[in-house]
Amino acid sequence: MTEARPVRSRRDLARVVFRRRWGIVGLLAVAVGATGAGSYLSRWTYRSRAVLVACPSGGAAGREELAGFAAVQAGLLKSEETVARALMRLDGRGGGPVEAFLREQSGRVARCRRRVRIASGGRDAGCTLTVCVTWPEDRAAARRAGRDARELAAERAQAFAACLLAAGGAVSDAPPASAPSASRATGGGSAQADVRQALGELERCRQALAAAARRPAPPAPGPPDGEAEAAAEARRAAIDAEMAVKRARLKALEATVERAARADGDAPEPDTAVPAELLRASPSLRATVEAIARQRIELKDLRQRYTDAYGPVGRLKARLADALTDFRRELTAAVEQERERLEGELAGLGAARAAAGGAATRPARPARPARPGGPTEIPEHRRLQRALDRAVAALQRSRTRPAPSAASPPGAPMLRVVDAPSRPRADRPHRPVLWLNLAIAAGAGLLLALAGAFAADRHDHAVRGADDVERSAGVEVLASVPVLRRGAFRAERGGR
Amino acid sequence: MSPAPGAAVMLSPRAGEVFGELWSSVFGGGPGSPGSVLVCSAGVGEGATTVACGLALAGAAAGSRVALADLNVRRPGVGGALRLSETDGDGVRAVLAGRAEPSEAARRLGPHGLDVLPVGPADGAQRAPDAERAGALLDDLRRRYERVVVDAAPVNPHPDAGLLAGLVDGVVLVARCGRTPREALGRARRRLDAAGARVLGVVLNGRTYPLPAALYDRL
Repeated sequence: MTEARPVRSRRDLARVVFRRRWGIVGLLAVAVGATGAGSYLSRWTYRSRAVLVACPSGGAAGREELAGFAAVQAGLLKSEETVARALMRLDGRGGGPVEAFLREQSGRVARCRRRVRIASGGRDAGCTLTVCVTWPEDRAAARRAGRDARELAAERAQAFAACLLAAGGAVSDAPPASAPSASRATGGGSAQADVRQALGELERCRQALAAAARRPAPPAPGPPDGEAEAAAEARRAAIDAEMAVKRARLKALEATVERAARADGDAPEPDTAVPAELLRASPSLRATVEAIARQRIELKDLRQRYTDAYGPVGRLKARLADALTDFRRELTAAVEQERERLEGELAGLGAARAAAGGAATRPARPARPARPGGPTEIPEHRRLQRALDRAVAALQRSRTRPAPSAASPPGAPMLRVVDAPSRPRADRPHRPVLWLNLAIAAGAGLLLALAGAFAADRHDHAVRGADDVERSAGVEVLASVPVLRRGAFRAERGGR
Repeated sequence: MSPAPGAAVMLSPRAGEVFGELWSSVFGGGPGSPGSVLVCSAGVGEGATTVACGLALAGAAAGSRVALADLNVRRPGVGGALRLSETDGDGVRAVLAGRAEPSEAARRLGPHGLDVLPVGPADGAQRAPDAERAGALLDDLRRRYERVVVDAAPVNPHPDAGLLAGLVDGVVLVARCGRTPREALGRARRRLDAAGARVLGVVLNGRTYPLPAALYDRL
């Protein structure tokens, strides 16, 4: 086996390059041409960029702790799915506009960029995540919609920016330097306040309804029979509304149990969101939820830092599975308690409704519309009905957006929007920089072609010069006959 | 008996310069210089016939009495290169078969008087020349000429060159630049050594110089 030809001097290098110059030029031309054509034909994109800060929920942390936390976050934000999940946290535990938007646009989010850096000190201590979502022009969708593809892509990006802004709470559209941190950090606390206000209002409504049901009907100044009948109808309507609320509550609790039952211990993020009142009612459930959150954070940390150390991860997974089993058992018990309580209340309300219906067992008369300025119960019931509607709506909102401090696990990281998402414009697409792409392609193509030329030269076994002859045959070169383009011999004029 | 007259063929100026240097390298070594030289290549189509013809023409132009014998009965090429008809008269095949004398097969090539022995008309199956008769032919040529140049079949595919290599004073190997594999050249050298030949050196045929002269001088 003959050894590869060594390249010893600058002359050898230059000789290799010149010998294969047409191959190098060809490869370079192909690289530059393909890049130029690709850049020219590539679709324009529209970008929206937002800067978030993720920090441990415990508040200010040391630099080392932040570094570990940042490592966990970097591991969590490796995929598009986890970026979407992180964005959802802005909105609570799912079901919000960001989640709905991302679910709707899931096939069209082209790229998310994550940059994690540690910013310590002040309220913004944490690791900064720069999320950049890119939308390409969707010409097929634009053609179906009869719209311009650029406008459609820009609209999608604008919708994402607006969605993220809305989810971030009190985030302003101002530049980051002028946006105060305190106002940005209030997004998470509003959900908790909503829940408390809704529950308080619901309690007040319930008491008022109970009092109204117990109160005898006042003497009617007008036609007494019609007023009493209207009051009874209003009471029945109010009680029906409250019963509907209770039934919805029961259905929500059953859905919570089903969700927890579906959660698998091996899944990356089992859903353990529990309504706040259940946590308050059951200290053991709250402790279990906290333990799950702590173990989940620990597990993620271990996954990121020691991906090859499966032993601790396996033990932690087993512990997490046990904790999830405990959590399901505790949750089922708490829900059963709550169900019994609610059913008792429903029975009481049913009795009250029957009593209210008994008051209206007088001879039937055609119902008349209530007059304005009539008895005080009708406006009161209407006001109570409106309050009930508001409370039901708040409860529905809070069911899908629990307060971080109350419903979220204590160890879960919090995300705050620091830099508002940019709003792309239809007339400012992100287009490829042609000259930059061409320069990169030329450099990369040249390096590739040179590497290919030297590799081919090393595997070229043909005799090229005196060195090759001396190494392979062991004799010297007597003469080198060049390529004689006009031939070596010519006939003498006059010869035969 | 004087050789029959043939065509008048000369080297081009550039070829005359190159092959003149080669003549000096091979035969200009004083008293120990070889009287007969076998020119062969490692494989087919590497330019051994061209080198043999150029070497003989350069010797004739230098004033030596030179004979060029084409013993490549596998693929005769000397007649075609020097514009001699292989079928016009006897050749080496007739001499090796005992039908003609070497002087009858030789043809004089002008203007410097190079005597060429082409292979001659085909007489059936191609086979290696008989070593005894080839030796007699070469001895006869050595007696009547100062220098004898012999063109032979390639070394690696045929045994002819191995048989003839022991009958001459030296062997010149021809390799085509950029085509002859280094392994083939080494194998040819080993086969010639095994046949007891004295390999004088290698002629690099079709040599190219990829670097421009200005750049070559700067590096």
